[in-house]
Amino acid sequence: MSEQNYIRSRWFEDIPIGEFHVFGSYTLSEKEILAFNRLYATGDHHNDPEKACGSFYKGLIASEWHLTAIWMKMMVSYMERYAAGVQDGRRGGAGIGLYNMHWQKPVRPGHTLTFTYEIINKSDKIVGDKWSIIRSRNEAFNQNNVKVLQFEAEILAERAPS
Amino acid sequence: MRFWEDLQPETSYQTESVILTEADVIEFASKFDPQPYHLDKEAAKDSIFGALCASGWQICSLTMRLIAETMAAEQIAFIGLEQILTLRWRQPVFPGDVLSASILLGTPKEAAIESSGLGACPAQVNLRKPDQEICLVFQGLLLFRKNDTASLHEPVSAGS
Repeated sequence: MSEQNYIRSRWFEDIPIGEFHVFGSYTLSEKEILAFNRLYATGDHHNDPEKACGSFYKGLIASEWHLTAIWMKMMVSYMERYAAGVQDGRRGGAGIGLYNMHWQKPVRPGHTLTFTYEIINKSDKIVGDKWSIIRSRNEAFNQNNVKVLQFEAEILAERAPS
Repeated sequence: MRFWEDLQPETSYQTESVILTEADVIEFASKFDPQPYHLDKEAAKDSIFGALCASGWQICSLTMRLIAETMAAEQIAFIGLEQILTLRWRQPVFPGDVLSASILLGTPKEAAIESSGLGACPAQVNLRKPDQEICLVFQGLLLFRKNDTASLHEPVSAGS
């Protein structure tokens, strides 16, 4: 890795509970829903636009983990912009768990999701010498401002070097 | 076909095995989780994982496919996932790891979503490597189709 000059550093200790971000909005196409589901989800409601009309959902819908994968994509690109020039202790960390995850409404081709993220808890327990756990509440709303997905995520964030 | 009404509590299922290649890992990460430890073998060496590993979201996606294929093979009208109560990524998954999941069903219950056509069932799912090391574990609510034929043709009240 090349040497990088950071303007400042932001560690576990610097990230406040209540910090809130809107990652942005994302519109799903039928093509990408089908491409994801071909690899990871079965059933007409996920794979066949015509037969899906006769399914319980009355049309094609995105699969559960496709929505969370898009959340991740939005998170990474948002953090690249937000933490430009900053060594952010979250970025080298890893996700460790999820809680209270609900898929509340079907998401269909053409729907636009807006993703929000809020830090709701921090645990001072030290993991692997230099990491501690941050919990976030994450929500996705569709174009009618109806919540379609929510979950809490725990990730490791790097602590300030002592 | 077996429906929600036919599910037996405390039944367990074992899925088939699957392997993610390095190309699979990098392809998923490029689209959804472009972080150095999922994309670049060299950069991953210095990372928290120590080597190139799969995105946790890819592992979840793959586990769902294993579950769905197993339910289809069992002729069970499986629809998807309503909730995850808790999920832990216990160990990283590296390219070439052979993975399979076990599914233990709890007692079926009504689904929380506004629907009369689907029912839920709690399940504990463990994704393991061949040495039995668990890489992913979750407790969730799986969704199944109800037997709408039964609801159409059976009397509403048993006493009528």
